[in-house]
Amino acid sequence: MKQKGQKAAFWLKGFVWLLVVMFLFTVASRAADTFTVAKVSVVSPLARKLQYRVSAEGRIEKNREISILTCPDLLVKSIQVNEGQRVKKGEVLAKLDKSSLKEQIAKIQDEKRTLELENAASEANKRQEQKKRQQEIFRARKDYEELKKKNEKALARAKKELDKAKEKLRKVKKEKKNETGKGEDLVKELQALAEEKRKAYQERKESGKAEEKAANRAIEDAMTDVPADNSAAIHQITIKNLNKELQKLQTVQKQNGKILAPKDGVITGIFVNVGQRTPDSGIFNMTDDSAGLKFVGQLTLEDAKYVSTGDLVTLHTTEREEEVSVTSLEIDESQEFMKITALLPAKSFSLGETALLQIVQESESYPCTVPATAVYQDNNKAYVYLVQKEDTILGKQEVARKMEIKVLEKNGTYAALDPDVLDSESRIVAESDRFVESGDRVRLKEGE
Amino acid sequence: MKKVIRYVILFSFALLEISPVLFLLAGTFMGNQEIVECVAPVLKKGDGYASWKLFPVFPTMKNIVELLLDSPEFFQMFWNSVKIAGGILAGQLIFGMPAAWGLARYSFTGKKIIYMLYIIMMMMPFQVTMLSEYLVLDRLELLDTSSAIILPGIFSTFSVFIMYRFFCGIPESILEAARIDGAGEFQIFFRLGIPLGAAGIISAMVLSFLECWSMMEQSMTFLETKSLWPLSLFLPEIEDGNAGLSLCASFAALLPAVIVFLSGQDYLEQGIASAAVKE
Repeated sequence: MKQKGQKAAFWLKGFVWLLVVMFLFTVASRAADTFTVAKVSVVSPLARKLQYRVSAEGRIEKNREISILTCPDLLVKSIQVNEGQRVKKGEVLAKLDKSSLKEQIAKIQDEKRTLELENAASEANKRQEQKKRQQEIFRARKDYEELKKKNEKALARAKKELDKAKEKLRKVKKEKKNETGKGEDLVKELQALAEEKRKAYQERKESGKAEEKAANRAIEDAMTDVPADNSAAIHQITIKNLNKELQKLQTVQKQNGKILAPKDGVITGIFVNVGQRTPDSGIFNMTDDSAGLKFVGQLTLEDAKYVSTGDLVTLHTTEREEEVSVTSLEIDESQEFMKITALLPAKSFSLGETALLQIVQESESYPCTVPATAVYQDNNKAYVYLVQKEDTILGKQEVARKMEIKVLEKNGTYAALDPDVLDSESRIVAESDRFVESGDRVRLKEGE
Repeated sequence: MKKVIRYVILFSFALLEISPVLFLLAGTFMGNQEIVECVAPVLKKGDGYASWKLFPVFPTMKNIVELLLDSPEFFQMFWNSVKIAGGILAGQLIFGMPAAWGLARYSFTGKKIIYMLYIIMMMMPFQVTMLSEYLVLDRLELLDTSSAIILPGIFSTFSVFIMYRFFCGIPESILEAARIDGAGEFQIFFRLGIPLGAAGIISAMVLSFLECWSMMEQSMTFLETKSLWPLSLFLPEIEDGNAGLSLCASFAALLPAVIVFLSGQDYLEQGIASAAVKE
């Protein structure tokens, strides 16, 4: 019995030790649980508008460039500005050689005089030609009238003779009828005469017609238009152009051969050198301050979805920031970017300066939005982890449960979700210090 | 030679009997991958039959570490089991022991009927009394509390029956002598009955502990709150990919039962023997 008792006591002691060990591991496992259970921060869905922050880097460029022209073929004596230099209206850009200017003026004046003289001579010739032509027409008409009268008289005379011959023949034939067998030869003779007169009449008639026709043609020939001669008009145009050129040259001459800036701006190009002659094209390019500057930058096509023409954007440079309006959006040649342009007020920024364009666009108001970090993607399905109080073996615990949701819209910070699935009381895992799976116990971060 | 053959046969059967525990022990040190490979046909992930290894190919302590340091649920359930078993055993000592003593040592009207009722109640499986127990516990508003398991356990008839057999074995002359010496009934119970029936009490407690430690149906029926569940329900909570942990937990759950059994083994044999003796 004593032996039995000792054995029982031994094992009972073992049982007590087992309980002690189990207690220690209970404490240890609870302590370890503190480290292994994911610590999460939760959020509840809120109604808000999603903001899209889009930014684009770019440069300040001129909005309008003008070309400064002067008369060609003038010798450049000196150039007073450099490329990139800001100039004011009326500032001297270059000086031209006065003697070459004079020569040019004289040359043009000579050209003009020559053309004027040519025009005067041409005009006189033309008048003379006109007079001569009118005289010819007059004469041809007169000849025609005279010829016509003459032919009428001759024809009348031939007709008269024919009628006379016919009458004589008729009389003879009448007499012959009464005196049978008498005057046969006379009839024949008169018949021949009548025939001759008829022929003569016909010939006179035809020859008269031919002569009239020839006279008529002479009139027509006299009235034929003279060949067109536009040389005078052409000369006039040339003279007009020469006048303009002369005027320009005289203007330059009045300015003592100086080329002046037409507007305030910055010189962006010089296309002539000292000692050279001015070309037909512009000699300077410059910006026009009155037209302002513009910002030109690039946006990704994704970002460009949130920007429209007319949107107000903020432009930041190292020195200042200003709200400007988007003027245009054009897709670039690579089809990968959108070129964004915004007009800037004059003198607000410096040409060539780099700038950052920023725009904040707001979506419509969504009743259920959560931080974008709370939304997970798997197999093209979006889901969130809801934190629910569940009855677990360790008592009421916070447990993460996967819930499939529909993302209506998303930006880099927030996602708008279908409000039918979640309510404002739902607690959604926004951040976790470790990977969480559905059914995992989680701990809320302090203060939540 | 005959003796050797007898030992071989007996050892073979003993090995067969103990094999589940050996498998459990081997599985405790196996990795999940190895366990899945062994039981793949059972999990419908392979053909043929499941196999087992007595020695893991790649022994690992991972399961033990995970159980001891990363499974607070296991310990929660362990202490729930301790609480339930301790409550039942304490209750049986308080209520069952005097009941067994009274039934064994006193004559009163209806004693036989009560004894018969005890026997009948003992024979009834839990499933038969489950509904009535449920209704009673519901009326007492004890459902989903540990008391829902402890209270019916305290009044289990089996321990009373074991102790009754032992108390019956105490000679009446000893009790008479005590009465003549002026001992009261309580004194007789505490000073003579309990010491003389200690073997029966211990064996009843050991058997009750083993029953309490492994009871599942009662917990599943009466406890809804998971935090009240005993260790016997830990394994159903284990998921597929955690076979190693489940084997390790099974082995750990076995330890208290084995220690309690060993501590009361001698008394238990005596108790079983007494229960088997015809009245």
